[in-house]
Amino acid sequence: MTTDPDEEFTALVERQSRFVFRVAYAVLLNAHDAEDAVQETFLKLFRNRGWQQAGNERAFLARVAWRVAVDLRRRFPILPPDVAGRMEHPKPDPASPLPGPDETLAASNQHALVHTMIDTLPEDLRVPLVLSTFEELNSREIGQVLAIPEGTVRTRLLRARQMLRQKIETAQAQRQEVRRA
Amino acid sequence: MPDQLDELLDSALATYAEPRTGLEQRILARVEQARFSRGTPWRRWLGWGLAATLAASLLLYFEVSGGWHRRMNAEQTAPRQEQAASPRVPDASQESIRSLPSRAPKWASAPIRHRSTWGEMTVATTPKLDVFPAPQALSAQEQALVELVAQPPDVQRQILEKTRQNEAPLSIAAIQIPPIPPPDEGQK
Repeated sequence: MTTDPDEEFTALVERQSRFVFRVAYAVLLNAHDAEDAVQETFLKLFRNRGWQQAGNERAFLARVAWRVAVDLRRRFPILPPDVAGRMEHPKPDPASPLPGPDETLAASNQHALVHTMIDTLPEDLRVPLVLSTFEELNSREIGQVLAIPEGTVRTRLLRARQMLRQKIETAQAQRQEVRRA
Repeated sequence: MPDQLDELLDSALATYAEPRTGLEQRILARVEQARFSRGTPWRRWLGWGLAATLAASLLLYFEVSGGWHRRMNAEQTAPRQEQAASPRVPDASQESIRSLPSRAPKWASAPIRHRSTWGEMTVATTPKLDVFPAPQALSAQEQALVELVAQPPDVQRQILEKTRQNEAPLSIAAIQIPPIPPPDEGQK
């Protein structure tokens, strides 16, 4: 157990920076803006040392990062997802016959396709989905982060997954049609 | 099929929003930079301190300079104000009235404008006189008339008579020169 505040903060950054980045990205949909939000978030944490008194570290960090990202988006409105694009992954074209069926089914392209679909979700569905998927936050904690009731979180998670399934099925059906043609 | 979709969805969500490598180092560098700038507050306050000192010095300079100008103006206008504020009243007992200037200068009663050091125009006016225009000194004839009027009537009469006598044409009696007796010839 470390007692030096600097070491604690460094450990916090190494432990939670990716999580904070994903929260910010779910709001901003841009890697550069999300990184700015992450740095702003940790700068605030460094100044007020608020995470040390927080009961749930992840929920607290998610709350701070979400607020910073929303504030950043107010100051600098984001472009639509299809214009801004994703920084890390190439945007696939579901209707394009060029990649071929085998390459289309490759994992990277599938993930890129799903990422693009997640980006096109409404924010009130996208953020709970991102928080619930790999951040190990339950519906009650997500509700605390987003200041919404726990039941609303569950409803939104369900709707988000349904919309993504429909999008994926539609995309796969289009590819099959292209392959047949 | 739904199971495959869920697996695809979960695996895609697991790789959603991956940051660029080195995120932790960039965060720590940013925090370190902020801490450095925060840990040396004297650098931030140094500029403000210098600016405040300069402003105080300028303020003091203008205050001293302005006070000096005001004193100079006051010294220049004071004699004029004294002259204009205390006009000589005609008095028979005064003998030095002829030494006064015959006419007060125009600038004595005019407002004196001067620009202060702060750039604003201030107007220094002479005190308002009770009698305007300021009385002028009496001439010799006027002074003599005042003196005459001040005398009692009988004295006035005597003075006037005397003056009349003085102004009357002189009557010079004919010069009578007795003839010089001729020298005695018989004595030769």
